Amino acid sequence: MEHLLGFAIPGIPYGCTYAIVAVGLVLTYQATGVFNFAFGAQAYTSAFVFTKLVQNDGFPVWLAFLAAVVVLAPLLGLAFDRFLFRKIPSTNTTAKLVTGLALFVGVPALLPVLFGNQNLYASPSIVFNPDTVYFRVLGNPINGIDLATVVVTAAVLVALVALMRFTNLGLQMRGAVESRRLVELDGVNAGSVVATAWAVSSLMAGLAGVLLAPVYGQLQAQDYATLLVGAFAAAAWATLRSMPLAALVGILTGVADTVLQGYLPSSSTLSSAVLPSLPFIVLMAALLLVPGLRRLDDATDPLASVDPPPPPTTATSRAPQLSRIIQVAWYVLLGAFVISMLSWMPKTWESVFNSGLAFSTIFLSITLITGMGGQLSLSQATLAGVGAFTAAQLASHLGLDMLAGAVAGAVLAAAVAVVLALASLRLKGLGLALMTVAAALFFDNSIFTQRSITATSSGQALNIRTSWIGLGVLDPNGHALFVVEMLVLVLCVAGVLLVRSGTIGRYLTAMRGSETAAAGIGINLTWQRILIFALSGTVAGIGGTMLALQQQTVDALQFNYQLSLAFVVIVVTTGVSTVEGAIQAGIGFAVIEQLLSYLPARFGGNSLAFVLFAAGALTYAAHPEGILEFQKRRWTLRFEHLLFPGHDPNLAFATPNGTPTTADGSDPSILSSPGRVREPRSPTGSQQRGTAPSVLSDALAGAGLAGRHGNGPSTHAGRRDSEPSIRDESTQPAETDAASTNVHPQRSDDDRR
Amino acid sequence: MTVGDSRSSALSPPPTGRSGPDHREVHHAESPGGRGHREVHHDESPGGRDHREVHRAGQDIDVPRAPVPLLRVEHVTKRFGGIRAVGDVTFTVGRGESVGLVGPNGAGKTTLFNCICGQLRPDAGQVTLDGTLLDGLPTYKRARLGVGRTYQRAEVFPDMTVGEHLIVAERARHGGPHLWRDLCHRSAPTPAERRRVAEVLELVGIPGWEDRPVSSLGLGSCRLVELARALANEPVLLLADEPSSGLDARETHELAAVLRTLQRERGMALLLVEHDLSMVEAAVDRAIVMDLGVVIATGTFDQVMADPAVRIAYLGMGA
Repeated sequence: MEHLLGFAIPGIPYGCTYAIVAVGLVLTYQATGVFNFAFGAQAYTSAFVFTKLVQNDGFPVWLAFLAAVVVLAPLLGLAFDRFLFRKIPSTNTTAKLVTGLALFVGVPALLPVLFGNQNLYASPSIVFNPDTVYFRVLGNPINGIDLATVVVTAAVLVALVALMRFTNLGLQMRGAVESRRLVELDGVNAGSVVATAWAVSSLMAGLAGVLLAPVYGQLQAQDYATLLVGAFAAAAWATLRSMPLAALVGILTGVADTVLQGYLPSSSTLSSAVLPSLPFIVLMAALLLVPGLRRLDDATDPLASVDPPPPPTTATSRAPQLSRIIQVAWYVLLGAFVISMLSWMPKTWESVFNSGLAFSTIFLSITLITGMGGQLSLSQATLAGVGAFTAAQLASHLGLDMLAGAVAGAVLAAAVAVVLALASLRLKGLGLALMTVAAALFFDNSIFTQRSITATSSGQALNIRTSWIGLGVLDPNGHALFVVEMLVLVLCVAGVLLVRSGTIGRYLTAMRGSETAAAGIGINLTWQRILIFALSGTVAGIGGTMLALQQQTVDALQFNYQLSLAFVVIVVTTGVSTVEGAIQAGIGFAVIEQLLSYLPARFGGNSLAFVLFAAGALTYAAHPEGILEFQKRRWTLRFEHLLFPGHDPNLAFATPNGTPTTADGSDPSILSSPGRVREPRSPTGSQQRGTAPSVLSDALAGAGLAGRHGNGPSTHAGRRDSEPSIRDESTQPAETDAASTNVHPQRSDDDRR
Repeated sequence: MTVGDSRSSALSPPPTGRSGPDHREVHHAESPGGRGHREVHHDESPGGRDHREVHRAGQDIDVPRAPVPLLRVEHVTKRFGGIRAVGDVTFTVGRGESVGLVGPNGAGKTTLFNCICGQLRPDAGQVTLDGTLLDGLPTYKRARLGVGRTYQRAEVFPDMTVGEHLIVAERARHGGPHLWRDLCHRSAPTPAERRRVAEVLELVGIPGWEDRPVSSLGLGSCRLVELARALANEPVLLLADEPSSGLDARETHELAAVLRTLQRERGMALLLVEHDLSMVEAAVDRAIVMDLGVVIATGTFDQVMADPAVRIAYLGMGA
């Protein structure tokens, strides 16, 4: 028992590091409705600024604390709210997640761009002296860092619980989370309430960041990111509702970690494989066992219908002539690209484009699972890694051609994806995102760290050898790699297009629209989900092998969880629902990285690429079709105005019977400006008043029932007889609430090409 | 083919099982014969239903008098935590029969619907459709067995056109482990599918709407699309959950007529949850009233409306 307590006591301050972050996550979720992936980035930013001010600029600790935590942290939160999250409809979980991910990727990458690459060590403690042992518990010394962590966690927990439960502000925050617009109708300044919530939660993040900085020897964003994801488990067990429970689970996770470390032999497989992944295993267990996590996305904003549906893709609305011109231009560009790659392209750029083709293949897997399947998976780089390691190991051990190994790798990646799909069958939205990121972290910490997987049998790194490949793919004077990657990409694109245009594509579209209704008409949701995960895993696995071939090595860092998050951010920037979006993302990412390498290191090098794409992804809330797609539509309209002045994009949505709809898919006759009287058209084009009445009137008139209802016998004969005939349009009430006609505003973009 | 046509739809299954009596229903008297025997049922009505009988006779609606039980709900109980949403509910719905399920808010109607169509698993009791025990079957399998549903909040697929809604339902109905076919089958509908879609759209009164994006439609239109999608699945039992919500009085009246006609033309049983009692009266053969999770009355519409327990449930006072 004494041994157990001896191991457990050090786990309490360690667990408090999870606890304080978990409490911050729950607070942000409860107060803003956002599961804040950026919490770790905010904490790191405050810690970075605090340490820099103290160590590099000679600020006193209290002044640096004021600047980094009391001023900067809330300002950051207010900026996130004002410029990003405020624009996201409360029901759009995907937009919130993507925006959080963009901040998760972009903010830490921005700091080296702003301040240059700096190595900061030994951050000062804000409360107690880190070097002083204040007392001992069962022989365990409690130093200033431990004491500060425990005391601040307890103080913060009490203060926040009191804020949320016992203050009017807390009540208003909880109301605003459900629907800002609804509480505004009650006279609450919802914008101010939510901004306050962001300021408070960001203050928490800053406080946690500065408090935990001395725990780490060197200040690194990755430590905060890992801590954040570890804290997800505690927040998940509390179903993102109870701050005390989140704190308790966080502390227990820390205690379990130190106890297991104490009892397990350090050389055992359990110790090397399971312990590093303990928080992620706890997270997966929560997602599997806690029913409340399956309903996280069920909350609906009663006023969600006032949000307009997103617009259709450019390809569905542009003039046919322009479509033909663009199609020809693409073929010309493709031909020129292939000829250039096979003739004059410098080797450096040939390598860049080959890399881009490999990334494009991986990104196609995101198009499949997110764009088509509507599932946000944050483990695509991991699946790519499974494919790459499998192909390389088969080549290393069995001498199997890596191209053949790519098929085996794809099959194994698909199998892993299927297991992931089965484990997350009841999850969606945030729950699924957390499950996939936990799986990615599990692979990072427990699978991709095993030498038997990441090295040859002789213990050497998995550097791709020419003998493993054949076909002269790695011949530096040849172009075989380009040809292979191009062919693989074309095959994958054809496969994705085939799936999208097939019955499965329709089923997936139905599932994205309404899972409830899709099941209600006989679609097997489980099967469809497993299928799309398997297809996505297959493509990711193939792409991973192609990336390994291009980079001539397979390394765990090429496929870590942070890249999975970054991949989603990149593809979202260009357009997650289109095949061309994936290709543009892949080529664009490789080209931008190369271009940025020409800049002085002062500008942050490759970090700037992530900053740029993260900035692009931050526009997801305003342009869920992707900022690139949005710009394409904008410029297409300008060109059409110049080249085809007679073309009306609205007519692209005209129905065969003459009822035009607007470019955003809405019926102009129904969706008039707010406050204006709507005069919807009947299917035959004649104007009527009222919306549904026109439908039913025409239906029944056509069916010969109108007369019966208007004039025939009725259950309420007297009342019915006194009612006007259905055809008597002049007596029908006009509707004025244009917004109420949008039944499902959250329409994901669908490229119908 | 329109709502008003008396001939059978090409999509309609032949009306079957209209000859057997239902011994399970207290308020359904056994009676022989075919049409025009509604009066026999309504003879039991204490309040008198002459105008209703005339109306139905006038519309020549073929309502089975003694329907064979198609749906059997037996002792179904569902609790959420400590709260009993549905408690020991038992009733049947016959083939081609139209039954209203009414009750105040919180009575457990939608929960019961969810138990029937598989979106919730009851804590106790069982549901049988046409002799097939539905317990444990997922929603999609129940849909393929013939349970269609529309929802309280219109559930449509916003990325699809009206026609695509019906195509996807039509294909899902024939679902099965046909991976390669589903992966590679072009989504363009076949001529046969186009024809069937056109027929169903005409049936519900929105002919020619195949290519309209559903996101451009109003709420009333979406409800018709939902109905058409459910019909494309050729259900033997349609669960309609507050189809009139969001519609005005005239639209509600018209929708009731559409449901009535569909029931008659397709031999389809209808279980209707509705707050608008005038619609229930117009659309159903009999009604079941629930309150606080239990059935408090069954019988013809007038019978249940005259029931003191129902008055208390709705008005909170004695009859």
